[in-house]
Amino acid sequence: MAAEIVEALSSCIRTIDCKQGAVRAVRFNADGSYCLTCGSDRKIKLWNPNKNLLLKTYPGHGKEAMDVAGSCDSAKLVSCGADKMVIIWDVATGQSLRRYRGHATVVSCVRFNEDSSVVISGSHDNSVRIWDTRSNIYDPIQILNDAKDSITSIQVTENKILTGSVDGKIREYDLRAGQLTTDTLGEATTSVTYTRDGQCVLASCADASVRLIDTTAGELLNEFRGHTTKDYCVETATGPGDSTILCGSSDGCVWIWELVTGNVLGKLTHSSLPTVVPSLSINPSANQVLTASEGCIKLWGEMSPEDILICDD
Amino acid sequence: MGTTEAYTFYGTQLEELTEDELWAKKPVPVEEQVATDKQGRRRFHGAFTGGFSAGYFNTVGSEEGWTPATFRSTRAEKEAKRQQRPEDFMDDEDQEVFGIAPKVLRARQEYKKATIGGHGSTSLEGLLRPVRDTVGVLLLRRMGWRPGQGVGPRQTAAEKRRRRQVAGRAEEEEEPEDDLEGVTFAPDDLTSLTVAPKTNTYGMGYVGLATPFSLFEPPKPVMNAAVGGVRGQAFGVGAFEREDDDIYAADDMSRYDFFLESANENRKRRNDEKRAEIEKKRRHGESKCLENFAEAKEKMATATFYPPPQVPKHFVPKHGVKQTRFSEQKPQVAQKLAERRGRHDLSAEQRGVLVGEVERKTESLVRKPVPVLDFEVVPAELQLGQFNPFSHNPEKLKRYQQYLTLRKMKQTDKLVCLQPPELTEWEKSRELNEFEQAAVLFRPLAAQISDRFVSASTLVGSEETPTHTEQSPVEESVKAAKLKMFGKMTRDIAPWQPCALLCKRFNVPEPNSGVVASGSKKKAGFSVFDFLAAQPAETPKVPDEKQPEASSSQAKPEEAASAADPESRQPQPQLQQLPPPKPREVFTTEKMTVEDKMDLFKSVFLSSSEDEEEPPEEPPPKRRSSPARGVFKSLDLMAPRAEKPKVAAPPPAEQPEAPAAARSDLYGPALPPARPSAPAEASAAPGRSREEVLGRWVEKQRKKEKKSRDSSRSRERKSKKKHKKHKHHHRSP
Repeated sequence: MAAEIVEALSSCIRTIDCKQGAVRAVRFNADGSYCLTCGSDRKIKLWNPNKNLLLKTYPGHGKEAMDVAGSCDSAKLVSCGADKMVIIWDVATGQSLRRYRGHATVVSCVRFNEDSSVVISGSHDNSVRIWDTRSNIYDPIQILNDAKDSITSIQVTENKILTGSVDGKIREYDLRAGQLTTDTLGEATTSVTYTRDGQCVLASCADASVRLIDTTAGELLNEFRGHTTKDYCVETATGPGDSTILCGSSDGCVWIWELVTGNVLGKLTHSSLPTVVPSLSINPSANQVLTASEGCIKLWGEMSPEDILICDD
Repeated sequence: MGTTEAYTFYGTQLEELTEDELWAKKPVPVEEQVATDKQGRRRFHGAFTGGFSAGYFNTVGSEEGWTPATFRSTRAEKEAKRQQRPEDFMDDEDQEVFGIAPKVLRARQEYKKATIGGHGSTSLEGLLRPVRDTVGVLLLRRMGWRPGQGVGPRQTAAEKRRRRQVAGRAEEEEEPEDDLEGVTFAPDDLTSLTVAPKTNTYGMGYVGLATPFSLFEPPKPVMNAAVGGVRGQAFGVGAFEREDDDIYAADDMSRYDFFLESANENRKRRNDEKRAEIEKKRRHGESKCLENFAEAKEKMATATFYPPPQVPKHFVPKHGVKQTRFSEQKPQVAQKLAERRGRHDLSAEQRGVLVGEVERKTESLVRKPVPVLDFEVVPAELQLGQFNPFSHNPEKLKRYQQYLTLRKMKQTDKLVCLQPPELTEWEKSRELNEFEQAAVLFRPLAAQISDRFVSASTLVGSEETPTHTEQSPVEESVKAAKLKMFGKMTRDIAPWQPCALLCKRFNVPEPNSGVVASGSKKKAGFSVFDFLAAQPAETPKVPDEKQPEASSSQAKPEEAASAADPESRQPQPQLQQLPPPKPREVFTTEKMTVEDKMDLFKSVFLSSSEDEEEPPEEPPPKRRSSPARGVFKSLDLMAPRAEKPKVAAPPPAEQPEAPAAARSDLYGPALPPARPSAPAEASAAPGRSREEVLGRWVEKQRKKEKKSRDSSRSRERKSKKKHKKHKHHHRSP
């Protein structure tokens, strides 16, 4: 099954030159029909990757945009940037609805919660700040100051907040139980994500490894190696169907492992040059993966029949 | 029809009376005929039975009773104050044509009185002016007439005056002093007589009774009381009689003449008299008044002048400048002050000398052993570039430096010996407090940063360069991670309190909502002081110390149970001798109180046999008992294990039941299988033998055994843990 997925993903169906400098992050929206890119030219762009269409540009960050996320109803975006700001955008009008200031340095990652009522942002000032989008409060409603080094990634589920930081720990804040679980990985964590069943945490570490940690006991279930990271922050994700693990690499490829065995199943060669692939995003509803490297993004996977026509011209 | 058309009928036809009726109907006698209003009510009564009737039987009420006007608060509509009018108390029929106050269009009183005719007196004439002058006017103009002049031959002034007197229009004001000879004037224009139409039936010239006074006229001088405020005459004066002056109504001396001369002559005579008097005075030199000037009747008020007060004879003028603290003292005064040494200028020692108790006191101070320390080394806190809190006082600075050195050696109590004996005990303790605060506040930057960051050496090369003498717990967890001993060693669970709003937004109940959070609510917004405040007061080692506590003895019972399960299930030989899960006494204070309560509850409500039973374990983690799903559902577990024994095995849900069945004596869920990689890596790890790993576990057991002996060490650790616990509470409000 994993091999089939890899085969399906292995074809690059679209290459989009975003023309916004280096693409820091690429994200599918909630249903996977659109994607968002944030670039070093301080802009955020909304694309239809299947049709190679630029739908809207959201200018407004003072410095380069670092991360972006779409709300559950795709009506709003939240982005963060090196200008220490977290901005909520209205997708249709392109206006910024709210601007949250409070981080001391670069805000590296940002996420909505499940019903998009709360924004959670992590920053290089070692803090995770939680902002309320509904009330008129522009101060963070809670600050998580446990990390001893920069927050690199955040993952939010129904009642948990997972953070990965450079101090080599992943922290899971369980709202329901009211407890903070800290797992030491020993290496700077560049990206954390839950597997789809929420039972495991996937963490890419700075020592060129991806680790699969059991959330219940904190045990290491598997480790995936082979790619290179150098000093880059690369993202990892579980592939469609949860049987594969994907991770960006500094050799211009996205590596794919089989989850159970840890075998390398293949690579998606984003570019022949050894450029880093810092960001990747899995389509939540289709068998597609988006990868970003330097100024362009690539869509891998299967193409829907209506899009094939556009592909020809 | 033809006959009737010839007539025109007026009025209402009376109904025909039959013969019978003619006699049956009696005419109503006059005394029984009553006037009724529209509603058939009797309005007029006899003079002895109430007379005129109004309202409801002469009341303001109705058949249902009197209903007052509906109350309306004056607060809302203050300005719209209702003013009662007579009409409010009238019925509708009163205002009809035949009522007492008929409402019909009619001229107002002043228009009724309006005179018709007269020159320019009527408004009608003013309104309707001819566009062009009439032919008569034009002719008159041609003949030299001007508007405003009369018609006729020109007259001299005297002649004109005479005519005026004849006409009775002589004005006393104008008094031409000199009649110019030969100058003639046009005669006065005569206005035609204004004839007021007679609208009443009074006698000629009768005015009738008028109201005594009007607001707009000046009050009449004197009123006779007998008149009773009514002016005029009750009975008219005949057309051929003269009306007498009402000398009783208005008696005033000004009405009487005292000279037998006319007013004109009187004035002339008075002027002459005045002039003669002034002339006479001037001649006699009594008046300094110039010719043609008159002396003022009233003297002008002059400002009163008061003389200055008398200076006493013995007063000596002298001015002394007030001496202030800041002005320079005179040299001799300064010297005098310097020589004089008051009680407050003496030190305690000097006073002691005076009193005579010097010897003993200094002796005792000297005898105290002063620690021999090397204070030459300047501490990092006071090195160049650092802010110095006591730089203004070199003595104090020196003491602070000594304090810092002592602090490093943890001998801060010896500072008392180094403090000068002049200081009192209170001052000494205060200085010590100051130093303590300063040492916390003004730490070198490196110390502050080291609190926030983990140095690279502890992460990467933790094996070769241990920075602290005692093994740092952070390193321990990192080491465990290095050794791939993930799980209990690398996990730290701490309570965390999400804020209420966050729970609301995530739609989860607030955890520990009954427990009052010990930490105060943190101020939102960024401030550098947040980071400063977040630092512990001690050295940066403190956060490290909490780690092993958390990893070894769990913070929460449920967590402990879940963590203990995999541990006990480890089938590795060296872990067989693991101690059973830690007893509950180790848990946090809050939990202990809960358990205490539970014990109490049990002792009250449960039988003793139940009490002796082992309390049921927490249900095993769901994940272990549930069938495989998610990541694991598609796994073929046997195959990878057969191929790659080094890779970590998947979670034990799908493990064959055999081991659990074999160890049926074990309580709890099925144990996971051995992780094949773990022993290999543990043995392969450099500098850490199996014994060492084993030793650690054994040490824990020993610790537990030692617990009964209540060794000082374990107590110390326990207190530390409690301390850490509080800190956690404090940090996660």
